[in-house]
Amino acid sequence: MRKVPPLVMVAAVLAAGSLAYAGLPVLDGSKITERALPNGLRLVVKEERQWPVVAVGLYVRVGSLHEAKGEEGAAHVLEHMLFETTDDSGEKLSPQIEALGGQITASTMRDFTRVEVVVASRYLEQVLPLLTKSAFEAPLDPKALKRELNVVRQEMTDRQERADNALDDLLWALAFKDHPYGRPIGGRPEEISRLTPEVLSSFRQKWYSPSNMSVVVVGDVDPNWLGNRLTELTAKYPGRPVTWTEPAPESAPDHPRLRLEKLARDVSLLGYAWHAPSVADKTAVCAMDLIYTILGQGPAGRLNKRLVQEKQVALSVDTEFLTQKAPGLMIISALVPRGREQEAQVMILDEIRRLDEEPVSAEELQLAKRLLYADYAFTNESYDDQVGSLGFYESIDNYRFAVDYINQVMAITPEQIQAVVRKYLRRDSYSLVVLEGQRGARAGEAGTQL
Amino acid sequence: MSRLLTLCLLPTLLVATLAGAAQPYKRSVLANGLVVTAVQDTSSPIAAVHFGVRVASGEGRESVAGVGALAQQIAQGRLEALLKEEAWKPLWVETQARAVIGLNTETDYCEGRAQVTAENLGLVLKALATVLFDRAAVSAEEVARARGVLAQSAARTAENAVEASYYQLLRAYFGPASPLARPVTGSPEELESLTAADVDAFRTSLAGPNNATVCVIGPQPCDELIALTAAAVADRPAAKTTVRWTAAPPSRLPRVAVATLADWRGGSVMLGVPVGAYGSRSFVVGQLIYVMLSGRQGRLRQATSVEGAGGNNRIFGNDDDDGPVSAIPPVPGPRPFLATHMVAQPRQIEDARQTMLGCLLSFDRTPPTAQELDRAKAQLLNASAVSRLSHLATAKAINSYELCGAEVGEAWRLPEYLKDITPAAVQALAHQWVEQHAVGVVLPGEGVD
Repeated sequence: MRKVPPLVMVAAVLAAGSLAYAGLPVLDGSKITERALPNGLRLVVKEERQWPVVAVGLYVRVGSLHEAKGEEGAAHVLEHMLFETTDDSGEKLSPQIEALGGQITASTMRDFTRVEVVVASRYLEQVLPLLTKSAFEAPLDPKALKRELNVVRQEMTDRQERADNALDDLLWALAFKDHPYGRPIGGRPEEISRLTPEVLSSFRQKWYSPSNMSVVVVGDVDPNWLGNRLTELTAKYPGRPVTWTEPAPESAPDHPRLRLEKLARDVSLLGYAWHAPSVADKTAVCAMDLIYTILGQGPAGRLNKRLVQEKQVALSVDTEFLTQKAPGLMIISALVPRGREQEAQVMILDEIRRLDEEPVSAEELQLAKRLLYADYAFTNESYDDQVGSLGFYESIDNYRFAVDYINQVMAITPEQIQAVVRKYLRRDSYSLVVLEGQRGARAGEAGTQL
Repeated sequence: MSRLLTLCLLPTLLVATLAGAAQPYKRSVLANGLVVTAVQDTSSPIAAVHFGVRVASGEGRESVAGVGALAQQIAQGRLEALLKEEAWKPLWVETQARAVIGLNTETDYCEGRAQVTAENLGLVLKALATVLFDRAAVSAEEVARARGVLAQSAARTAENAVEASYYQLLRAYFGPASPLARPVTGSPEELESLTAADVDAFRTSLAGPNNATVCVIGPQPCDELIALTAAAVADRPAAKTTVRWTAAPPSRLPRVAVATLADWRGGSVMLGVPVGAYGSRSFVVGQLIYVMLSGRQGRLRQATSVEGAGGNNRIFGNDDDDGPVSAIPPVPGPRPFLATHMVAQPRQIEDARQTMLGCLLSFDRTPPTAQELDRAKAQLLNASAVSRLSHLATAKAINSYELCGAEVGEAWRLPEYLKDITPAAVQALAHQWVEQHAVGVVLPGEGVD
């Protein structure tokens, strides 16, 4: 028999939880220390002693954005070559880390390259020399390069087999005619064939300077010890000034750009892209994050409600906006039954118009903030997650934005959202790619194979 | 295989995740019998809950499996309905943003699990306690709906030769009459025979806080975590029957169980050997042997010369990368075992069995060198720490100790155990396997026995 009515109990428990933990930081800045080593390498450490594990991210501020003509794909291929680093026994980087039971991952973005290791803290001492050696001394052997180029080509082929990836590449290329953001991050197959050990060596010499890197660490580690150890390990790699003229931001198109392609499936995939704020405009970034949440996050998102649930002109709708160093894109994509493309397009543009003309209600904005908070909290759950967030913002701006981000989101007003919609999501300023499904083709789902 | 390993791996990994940490935890037994372990983790505002209820496929009407899974499916339906109500809206909102709230049934226990932001911890505890220890009468419609879901799930499992050989191994290992050898969902006939009254009786008799343990992890101090749990569960009545798991000795082995699978052209053989109870040093020795079997330098690859045998060097967590020959680590439960698996043509099943048995017994004939053992210890310690994937996985790992009747403090003792484990200890465990192993086989077609 219940002694307390269940709803009363729920309310009491909820109130207790809310009172106690409202405002608990997702990334507690008071636990973070930063330091610049003598050679310019920046070290950001969040000390967490809860578990005996440590995540280490090496971030180099070089990505496809920084590649000159003839270097397309170099940042990504060089990231692959870091794994050619060997120890005294000839064992390569990845097996060395994995033989210890650790994990190593790497990726190349438009703005930066990262290598991340997660390891039991007692083995950090063994991992640090491997990681620093890989950053500065990875061999650029022609045979190994040839092999890795084949691996990269296969990655490109695999990527292009998915329609959502193809749509993404087409949208970026359509939206950016001149800016490097319009190029595929890994370059094109014919471009990477031009990459030689000499080109990569020169590229590394230019960009892989300690003064162009940050090491971001979260976990069971003494920041002082770590700073001293990294100072020793990188002492032989002097910091060099990195000189580079950043490409001028490309203006948003002054009229809609359209590209139509065929998709060998019985469904169509379409994507809209608008130029979006860079990390320099943090208020606009936070407002844009709320906009994509209001439009597309889960069943409660406006586009999902209207296109998928009510009108059934789409099978699924997705929105995305990745904050970048330079102005990037806010993308809306939809998987649409063949023949319903026009209806879906009208409804998507109509929802953008609504955001422009009607301020978001306080209730809807609160829900979006709540969703974004939860999403950010889950995104930063583990130590390696936190390295990912801190390193991401450290590479394109400063790690502090990761710490302050959610508070800035919470301060956004309906008027600021409307202002950002009016500035960026203009009715005449988008790029649209339609991958049109074919009658009689095979059935396809989200992320369908081409 | 991937689902099987997902079930198997996480708790095993996280057994040792906690190694070396100065862990603030607190254990408490509530008035209704629920054992609560609270762990404070201030690294992020995320909280996780793992309930384990020691009743599953073997309980309920005599000789009829599946009632535990049926009860869980009904509870899952009620949980989904509950989250749509206004009072629980904060939880529903979080499920749109990667929160986890759900139920699951294993062979020997049912679990309720959640991962939410810390401010919703009290609410999610209440939601899980409400549906796990529910006494509201079950309707025939609910039974029919849940039966349909389980039948679909059972059909998918039946098509998977690896999972099928795993169930044959369970039959061989535990004996065909043991509840632990039964498919979680029961057979189609068993499912069809179960009624709403069976589910009600099962829940009243067994599904209560006194048969359950819970681990709660969050940024709140331990006392507060326990208070939140108590507030959420206090009105849930104890079950009439208290279930206790005992680490029974393994059945008389060796034994073989064979099944056939239509539309399956190959053969699949799985070999299981016993390790010590969860929380014991012998269990850790079993984990070390698993590590020494696995990976590019593991004994499985050396013994079989099969490319990809034993997976790659990531010892744990590569459930999509098993390869044709693989090892399956011991997992928490009443009678843990280590297993190896091999896909082989029907005529080569016996060769495969002998190869795998030879590989396992090689630890008796040729105990590991100090170097091999040290490497395995480092890998186990490191992989275990690294595999602290989420608060929820950690909560499950900790809760598994209570669930299996081990002392929860064992979760922090891996480094001590490892330090003391010698090649001779590995050899001693492997020596038992000469007479104690079981084999599950799946063959194509019909009529093979």
